[in-house]
Amino acid sequence: MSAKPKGKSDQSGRPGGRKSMLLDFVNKRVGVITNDGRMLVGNMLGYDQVCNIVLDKCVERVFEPNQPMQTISSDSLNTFIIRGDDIAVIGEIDSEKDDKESWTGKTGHPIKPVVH
Amino acid sequence: MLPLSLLKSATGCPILIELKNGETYNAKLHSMDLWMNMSLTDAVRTSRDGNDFWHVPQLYIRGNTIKYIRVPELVLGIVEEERAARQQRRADRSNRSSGGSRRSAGGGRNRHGGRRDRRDHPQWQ
Repeated sequence: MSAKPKGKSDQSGRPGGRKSMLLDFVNKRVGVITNDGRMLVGNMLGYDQVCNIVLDKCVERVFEPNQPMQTISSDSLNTFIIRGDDIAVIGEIDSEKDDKESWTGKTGHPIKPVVH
Repeated sequence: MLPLSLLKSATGCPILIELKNGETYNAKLHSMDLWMNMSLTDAVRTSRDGNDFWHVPQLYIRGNTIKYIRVPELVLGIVEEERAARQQRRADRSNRSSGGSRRSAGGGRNRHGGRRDRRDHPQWQ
């Protein structure tokens, strides 16, 4: 018997491997929380084995307890490559709901940085 | 799209790098490797608090100190162009090897009729 991996081949295209869980997020709008407590929102274009990710049309959402949420974006350098080391959370964002949500005037507390 | 291939395509473009210690560098990407180590030219280093600036003509950054990199959106277009060019080259090569090869038996071809590959190594037969 050949020692072929048992897993069925799937959309991942990798031989026998279970598909990477990040594949579900590709070409979707995602929110990323980094180790220093920043929140970035952008379209995830790709990722690799060590969880480095590419975010297109990326904006940062800054929450402060006593002033409205700010979005920080740049016209020229808005494609991010975030190093996997620095990522705490990646989550899909429902674009429809997110667009409907009026973020202007919302306040919130900043996220504390990860302590190692 | 792999993060490192995007970065490779950004070679020669102005990029922004933020390090884990909070410093940022605005610089032109000269070259990079698999570990995200990068050599940059014509850099402006900004301190953690954003108040101090230094001009650095040439520098090398070890990949693991990087927090994130920002690249211009036009690099995405470059990636697409490079992908198209690569596909074109591959198509040309396969056309050349399949069409118009009327040689006598043997003639440099293996039993699969293609170029030698790993399967033709004695170990794999």
